[in-house]
Amino acid sequence: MLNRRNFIKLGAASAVTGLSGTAVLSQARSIPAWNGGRDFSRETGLERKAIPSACLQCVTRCPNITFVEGGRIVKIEGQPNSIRSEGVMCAKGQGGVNQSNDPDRILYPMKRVGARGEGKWKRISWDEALNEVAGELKKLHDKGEPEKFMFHYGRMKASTSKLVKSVFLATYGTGTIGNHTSICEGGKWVAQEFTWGGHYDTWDFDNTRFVLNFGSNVFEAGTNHIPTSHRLIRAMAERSVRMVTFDVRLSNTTAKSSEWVPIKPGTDLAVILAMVNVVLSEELYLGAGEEFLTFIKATRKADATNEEKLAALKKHFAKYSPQWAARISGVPAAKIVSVAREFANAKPGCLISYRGAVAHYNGHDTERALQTLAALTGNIDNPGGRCKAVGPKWHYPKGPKNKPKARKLDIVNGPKGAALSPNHHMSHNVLKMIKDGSNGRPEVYMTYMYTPVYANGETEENIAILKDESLVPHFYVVTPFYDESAALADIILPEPPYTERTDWEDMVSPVQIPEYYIRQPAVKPMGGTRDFGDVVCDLAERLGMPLGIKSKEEFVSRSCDLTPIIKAAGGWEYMKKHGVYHDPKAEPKYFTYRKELKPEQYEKDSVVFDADTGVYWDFRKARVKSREEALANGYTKTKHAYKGYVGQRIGDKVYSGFKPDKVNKSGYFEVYSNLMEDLGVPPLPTWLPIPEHQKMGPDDLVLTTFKFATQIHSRSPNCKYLTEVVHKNPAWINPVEAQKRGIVDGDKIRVQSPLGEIETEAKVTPAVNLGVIAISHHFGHWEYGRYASDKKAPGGRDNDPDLNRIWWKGDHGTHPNPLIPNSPDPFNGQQRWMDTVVQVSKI
Amino acid sequence: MTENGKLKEGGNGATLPVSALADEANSRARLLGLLALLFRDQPSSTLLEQLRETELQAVFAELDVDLGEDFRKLPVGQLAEQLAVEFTELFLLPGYLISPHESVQVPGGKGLLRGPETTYVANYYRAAGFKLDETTPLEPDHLSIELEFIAHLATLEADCLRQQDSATAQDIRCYQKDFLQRHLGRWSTVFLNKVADATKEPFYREIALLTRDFLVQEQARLNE
Repeated sequence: MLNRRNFIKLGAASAVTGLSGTAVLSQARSIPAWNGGRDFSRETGLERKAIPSACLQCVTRCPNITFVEGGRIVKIEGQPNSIRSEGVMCAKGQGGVNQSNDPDRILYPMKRVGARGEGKWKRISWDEALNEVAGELKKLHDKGEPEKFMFHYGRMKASTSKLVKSVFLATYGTGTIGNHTSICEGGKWVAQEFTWGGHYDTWDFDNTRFVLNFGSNVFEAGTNHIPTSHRLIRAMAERSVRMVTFDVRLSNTTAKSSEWVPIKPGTDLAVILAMVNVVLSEELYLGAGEEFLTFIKATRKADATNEEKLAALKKHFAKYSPQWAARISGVPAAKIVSVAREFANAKPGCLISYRGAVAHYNGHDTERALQTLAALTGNIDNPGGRCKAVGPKWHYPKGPKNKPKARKLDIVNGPKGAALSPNHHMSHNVLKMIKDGSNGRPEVYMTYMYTPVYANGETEENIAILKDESLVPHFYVVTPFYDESAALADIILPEPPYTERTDWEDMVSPVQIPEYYIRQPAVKPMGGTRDFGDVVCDLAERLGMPLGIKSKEEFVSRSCDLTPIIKAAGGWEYMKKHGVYHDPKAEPKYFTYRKELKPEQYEKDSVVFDADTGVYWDFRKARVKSREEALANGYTKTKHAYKGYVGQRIGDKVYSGFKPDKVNKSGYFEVYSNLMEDLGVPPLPTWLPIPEHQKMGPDDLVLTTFKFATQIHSRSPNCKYLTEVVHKNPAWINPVEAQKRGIVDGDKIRVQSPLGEIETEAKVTPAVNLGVIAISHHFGHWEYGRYASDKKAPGGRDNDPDLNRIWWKGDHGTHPNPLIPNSPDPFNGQQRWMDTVVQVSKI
Repeated sequence: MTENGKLKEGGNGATLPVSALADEANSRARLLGLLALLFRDQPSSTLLEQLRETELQAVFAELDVDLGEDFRKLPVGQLAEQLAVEFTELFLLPGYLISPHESVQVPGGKGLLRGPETTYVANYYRAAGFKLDETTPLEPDHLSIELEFIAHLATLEADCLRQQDSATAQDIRCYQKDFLQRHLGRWSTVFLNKVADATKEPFYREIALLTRDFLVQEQARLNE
């Protein structure tokens, strides 16, 4: 056998002269001492520690490497070993260095002195704070009214979400839990739930040949921002992939597209319907589209033939000609046709969309029409297309075994009838519902990483409701920073920013292979801040309902042991060292709907076949007591029957199909929705004009909001490096519209909506369509620290020399949200950010 | 590793004197240098004659390395010509070649020539204090250059051992281990297996397998 000694013999043999004169490498200097991969600061010589963690500047949550020197975070970079982000880190993520060192961050629990919003605070101990909070919670619990504890979160994901929601709140017994999804893209998710089931579309740019974009600003923002956008740049640079973007504004995404097609706001639906028309009338569905037709539901009855489906679709979409769409949208008919052809012929093409298309009155059918266009061209769940999301499946400690049946106040879905199916709630209407009171009011309103005042529309009303102790008796806010909502709280419980917290993370992987990753503190929590996961464990003890978990770190560490693939890799110790993990043998998941089920999977005692829909479902999972009851009521009408979904019969096969979520959809890709028809709305994607746009006067404009690449939502302007780059939000207005109103660049202007008016600055630019005025919502803070608003937070410190260098002092922008009503899409409850009709005049 | 620089021999626990360790390191360097040469260019007649020398042939036999009938029997000029054709087809001929570059071969990589790994490797040489000849037409992550780099490190290690500089010798071992772990060791087996499977010449098959096994053994040795 070959062993070490023998090889050396080979080298020792005199005939071997090695490279002898043909070497290409030569020693230029002495070999430096081996520092074991450690990093040292060039200036100070201090050793830097590189700590793998995860960003949370935005929901994409890219893995990162956080560099710590002398106990301070000095740099954040991408994680090269991540298959999601491949080492890329955007400006926002790098700006995360400013989070821990923000001189205005809240370091200790605070209790208000005086009236709400007066701005007077005293520091209290955690004991005092939690005893008061626990006291109020206990009162409600003992009265048998746990539902009057409302927990409303903005940014809460992964392990924090599970510990807080699935363990703590479930143990307490309240189901009055609000999120923020409806102000983001809740409507997009609902539309997907009515078409392909579980929400989230991921974009396979690595394998695509063409990208068609309606209203997404993927190069500047997005829920899977960097993992997708850097792949798109690579696709464009290396494979000359074209992207055509329909947008009312020349965002940086549009600017990097091959083509900008300006469009009238809220008319994307017309254009997409016309594109479907082109695909059908020119038979561009032949090939992959036709193959996919088997899995499409295009008629009321479940078992139509492909011919019947095509006939039904052609009949419905015939009226949506490109000429018709051109009149509505302002996009030339020839352009609609050529782009439809280019997309259909790309094979594969990737169809992307976000708020620009969806945050409208007709957003629901806009997303459904997009799904239809992708489906008919065979670009669903295929390499290069719009795919079902793949993410890691963490197991975690469940806490107490016997949890009470949760009670809830019905105030998260808006007023009855305001939306037919708000599967992702109407968070922007929660305060209105509290004001109204018909469905009850919470006694304790606790928010986590959420700023209802700033993030929703109708700012003034939000403030008025929260200030009113008769409407909101107890208002507790969990936050690292003194934002506009925290300013109105009774007690502020300070959490450290993400740079000092622990989590396991689970965001979607655009390579269809799940990546497990973690977040760990780069430095220990500053001052008296505590990871809220630790706080809920503490609260539970004080409430006499211990969770059996002492801290978030324990929760995460045990999750690593409970998740087999992570335990095998080395558990929490491995994850702390490496930050990321994926199964090297995993194959990317595409076409999951085509998996054929074996008879033993659907021929079970607890599984029934629903003849109406062709669905096999497990009635026990839907809490139905007997087979007879299940068959009598049927799949569609049984509450939560979707939870028991097993498979879909199509012809003589049973497929895993498109698994439903939230509503009892069949396993088909439903272009035709019986569920929608039964709710009284058209079952196939149908044109729906926006009411207020039908009544616009010749001087009216439509207000649209948007994000910059270097900021996120409401919560990054405290990051000085980011805010130095962009700190104001002048209103973008087209030169033609500006001239009509006598406005030149930099003028002070008044923007008026039915709700009121704001005064702001004009930015005259051709980078925005006629008929539109665009204002970013990041700016216009009146709290959130000195970098954001020039206002020092209570307890703010002066130990930051850059506080003397705020050269943009006083120029912090004007918030547009006071102009925007909290108004939902009538089907899915999505906040209609992009519909507001305004008048603009020079001051 | 003991404090006065003596290394423990893997199997039986006995220590070797420093000079013997230095000799071993030199031998490793020469073997690596030879392998680098064989992957850099078609073998010259001179080289083939050296390889045919009795002493070396005996070692090959001990190692069960059979470079083939043709290697033993053909006139050296004809052999050189034959191997030149095979070398060209294996590593140079468009449509046939198996690219001997880390950036192309590393599993999980992009499969690009002059890809990201090329830069990482070039940076590695530089960080370790080495300069790459600007006139070479080869990419920095060519197998023959990566082998050459480890060969240089082995030579340096030998020099340090002879100068009683055990600390630097240990550092150099760290560099070797690290370079194999981060770079060469990640793709050598995959690549050399491809070569062994594709080649018609026993010569190249045996050299590929020899190189493969040697590198695997090196990694194991450095990991002890």
